[in-house]
Amino acid sequence: MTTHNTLKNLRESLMSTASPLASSPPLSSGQTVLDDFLEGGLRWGELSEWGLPWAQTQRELIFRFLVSAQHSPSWILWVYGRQDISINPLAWQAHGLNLSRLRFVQAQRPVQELKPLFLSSLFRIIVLDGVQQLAEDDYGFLARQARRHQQVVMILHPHQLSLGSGNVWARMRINCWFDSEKQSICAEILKGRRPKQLIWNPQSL
Amino acid sequence: MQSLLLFPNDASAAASSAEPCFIALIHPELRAEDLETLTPRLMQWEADLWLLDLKPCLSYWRLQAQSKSQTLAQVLQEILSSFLGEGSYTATLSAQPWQALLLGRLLAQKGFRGVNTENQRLSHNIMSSLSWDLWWACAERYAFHRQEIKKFLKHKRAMQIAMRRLCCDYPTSLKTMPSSQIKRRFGPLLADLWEQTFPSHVTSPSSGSLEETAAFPWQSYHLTQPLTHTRHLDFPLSDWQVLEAFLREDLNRLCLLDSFKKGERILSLEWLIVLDNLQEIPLSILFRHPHCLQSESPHQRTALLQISYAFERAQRAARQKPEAETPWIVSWQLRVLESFRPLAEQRRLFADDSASCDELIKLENQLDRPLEAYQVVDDWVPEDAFTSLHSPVVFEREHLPELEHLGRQRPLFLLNRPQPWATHGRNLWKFKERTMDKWWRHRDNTVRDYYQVISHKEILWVFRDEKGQCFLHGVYA
Repeated sequence: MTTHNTLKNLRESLMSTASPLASSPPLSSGQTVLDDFLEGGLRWGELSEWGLPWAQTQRELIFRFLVSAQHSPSWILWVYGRQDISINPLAWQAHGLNLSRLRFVQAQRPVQELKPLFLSSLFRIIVLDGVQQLAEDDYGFLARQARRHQQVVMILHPHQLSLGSGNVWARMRINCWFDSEKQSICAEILKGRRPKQLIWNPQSL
Repeated sequence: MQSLLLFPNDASAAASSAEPCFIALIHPELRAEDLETLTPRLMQWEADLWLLDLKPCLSYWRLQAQSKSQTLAQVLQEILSSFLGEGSYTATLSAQPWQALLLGRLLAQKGFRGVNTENQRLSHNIMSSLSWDLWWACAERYAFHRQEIKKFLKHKRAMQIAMRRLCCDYPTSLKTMPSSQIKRRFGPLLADLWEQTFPSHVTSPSSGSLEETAAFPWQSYHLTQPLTHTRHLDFPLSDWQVLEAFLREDLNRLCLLDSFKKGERILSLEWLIVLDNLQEIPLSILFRHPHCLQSESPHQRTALLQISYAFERAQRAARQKPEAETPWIVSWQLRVLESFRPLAEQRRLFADDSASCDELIKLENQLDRPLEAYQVVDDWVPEDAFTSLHSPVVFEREHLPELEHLGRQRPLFLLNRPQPWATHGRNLWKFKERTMDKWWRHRDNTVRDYYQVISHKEILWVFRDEKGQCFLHGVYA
């Protein structure tokens, strides 16, 4: 009886401390084709890895999720690794993003250099774009923080991901690329959802 | 498209773009304790005139203004009226201390009350009626603070005679005269004053910091001695983990000092470390937003993070020296360099959405670099179409429909500087837009034709100038 009560108390305590967002519906992209492909969208509390080759317009896909997240007032952090570039806010706003709740920062080693940002739950969505120096421990830390704060953490690599070198911390791994011959966007899921491919016309976005 | 054309008026427009942060405040009974609620940088210019430099806490006052949807001048007016009484004082806000006090005296003479800024049309108009008598009176005080009164009196007489002969009734009649001419005839002191009164068209506008107005005889007024805490270690240390524990203790002790007032916000600290060879190294610790030490007692996370960044930078600099040795610290002094004490009602920012903004302010104070925030501007030139803000609050701003269309055509990332671009093999070129650069910035080569170029599977934003040279300017990432 005592054990039963203890378990009951423990369950109640866990239920009360669990974030109300834990049961939130996944973050939708607002595009039925893409959401169906991702089996609903991006799940809160998960870290995902994206293979988005540089200079192929694929980041506009990510914007779909950010715009959708901003329907409710959410802070978004975009960390970029390249030092030779800067943000063109006019284009970002024209894609529907609300700049007032979007913050950018350039960092080569984000986990070491920007730790207070990851320890806070302020930013609901964190995008790490083209950050080269991420060790396995860093992935572990980011995944834990994402789960703890029920954030969506997206790591964008400027190259295609391979099946050979996996990442235990990423709950979803996906490759996207632009097929210039077919003038279409291709996506392939490597981990986290049923393995499949999607090809669609960029004009439909 | 007419509203897109941002033609410059003249150099005064450029000069006025500098952020106004100096206040000249005229009131017969001013108390330094009251003024300290605005900024720690004060100077008593005359018995009834104080100069205030808002620079160290400008971000705080800008936030206050934003949170109340007011201008900086309106916020200051509200505060000054609360402790001086409405209509009893004259205050002017300017990017330069000399301009602030000249305008302040002039407005007070004409019977204007309240807070005025130098950018107002009224201020521009009234400055044209500046008399020689007023200018000389202010100049004499300037010479007094620079301790050059004898030299001043000698050159003053010579210049007064010259002006009378030239029939110049007002200083503005000679505003186009270069200060170099004044220097040749009447010495460097008057030339310096002339330059500050009528900034030359050649020199760049001052950013308004005291460092850049070095000629100005600023004498800081300190109401109390700076708060300090000294620690002598029993054994030399260099490990941050151990230093951190001691520093935490010291920061908490600072909060317990009698002279540390309740609600005091720290703007900058100095950590003066003494090495085992008795070399003293001062490390400056600046806070992006005024920081309350008491609210973070006992963990002192924010202050310790900023101290750790400064320590790391110092260690990195020390390692680069040829005979680099581990710096062993034997003692230190922790000193509050600048702090201020806003009134209780000013401490609360953002009535709505306060939690997230407060959290962002806290986070920005804990980082060693600022977070970037942007706001779009109605300007057609790509690199001028936005402003970069280092503020926790950025208001969403709709831009012109023409610019929204342009925005969709432009790439997400720009190169920090356009790079010369040579065409390699066969590329696919698609015309995007023709942009005119601003003719007043670049007299020639003002037309840019932008193309979307697909080169080696990369989609780039390239422009061709009038000379036919191609430059890579952005990336469709």
